[in-house]
Amino acid sequence: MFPTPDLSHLTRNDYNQIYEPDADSFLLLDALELKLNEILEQKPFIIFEFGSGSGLITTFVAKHFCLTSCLFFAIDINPYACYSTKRTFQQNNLHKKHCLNIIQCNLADPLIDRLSSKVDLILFNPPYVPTETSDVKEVIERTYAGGKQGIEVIEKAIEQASRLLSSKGLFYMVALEENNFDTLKELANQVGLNIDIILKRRTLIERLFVVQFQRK
Amino acid sequence: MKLITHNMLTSNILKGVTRGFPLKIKADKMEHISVDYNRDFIARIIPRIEYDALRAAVNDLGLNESLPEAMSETLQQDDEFLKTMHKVLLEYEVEEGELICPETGRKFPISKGIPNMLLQETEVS
Repeated sequence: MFPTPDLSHLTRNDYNQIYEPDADSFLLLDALELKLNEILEQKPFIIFEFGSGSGLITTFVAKHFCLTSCLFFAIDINPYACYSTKRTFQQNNLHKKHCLNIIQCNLADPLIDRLSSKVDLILFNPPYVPTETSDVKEVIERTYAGGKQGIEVIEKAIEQASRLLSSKGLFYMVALEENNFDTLKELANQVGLNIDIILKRRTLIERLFVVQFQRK
Repeated sequence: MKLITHNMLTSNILKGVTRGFPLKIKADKMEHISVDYNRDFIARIIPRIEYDALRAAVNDLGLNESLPEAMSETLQQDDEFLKTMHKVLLEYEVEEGELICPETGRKFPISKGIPNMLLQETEVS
């Protein structure tokens, strides 16, 4: 098992502003590790993370899945998350090997045009909790509030991913049982993506799974 | 924000904007941070760069870097050119300033090196 990136620079104060890595984050890391060979075979060069938060996932990938220098994009709507991602990448000494682009924005809105069909690996631990609306004010709420069925943000991300992915690119995302796999499959099919469950885990409070998307 | 980041950003999600590229840059605070030169990496990045937009950014910032008017296949093998591209794309950091939509003039602040491209719902097309 790969060690978890060093997060010792992040304190309670930081976690009041950003999502603290939890069972869902670690499930995504485990799923990526399970797919290590498949990902390495693709030799990913451009890597994109939606909602990078602490920077744990981008940093983990940079450390273990990139043998040569890669071009990373990490976005978050929360400025504290953007700074934290930058700090975590530096704390783990990856900024000298790779180039990390951090942008405060909504999903891939300002990047879609230029990165269209160019991204080899996409990562997302989305706000998947069913709530009345995903349009909430507090940044910390926005880390989990997924709106109706928990899929309001997920739906947009799948659509954007279908435009960003390179021909053999891979997209890994965490989901909750209540998001409903059949719904996700329909969303994926609508935009020409295949979807497979690659790992499932039941935590104390949630039934989670990780899906892999790829162009048909 | 490095110039490679700038090269990937558009403002065309704004209502009424068609291309939104390249964004103009205004820098209030800039730094030069040296990065180890990696020839393979920069050679791999160059085909993905909009060269005219990069030249416009260099011009906006008033950098004393000479980039030839047009890029060519021969240039992409030229070590001097690759080193200049490395420096321009990866070593200049705009810490404070703004990006400006070329069509509407909408300003996007850059703070602590990170551009804020968030829009109000009413601004989105």
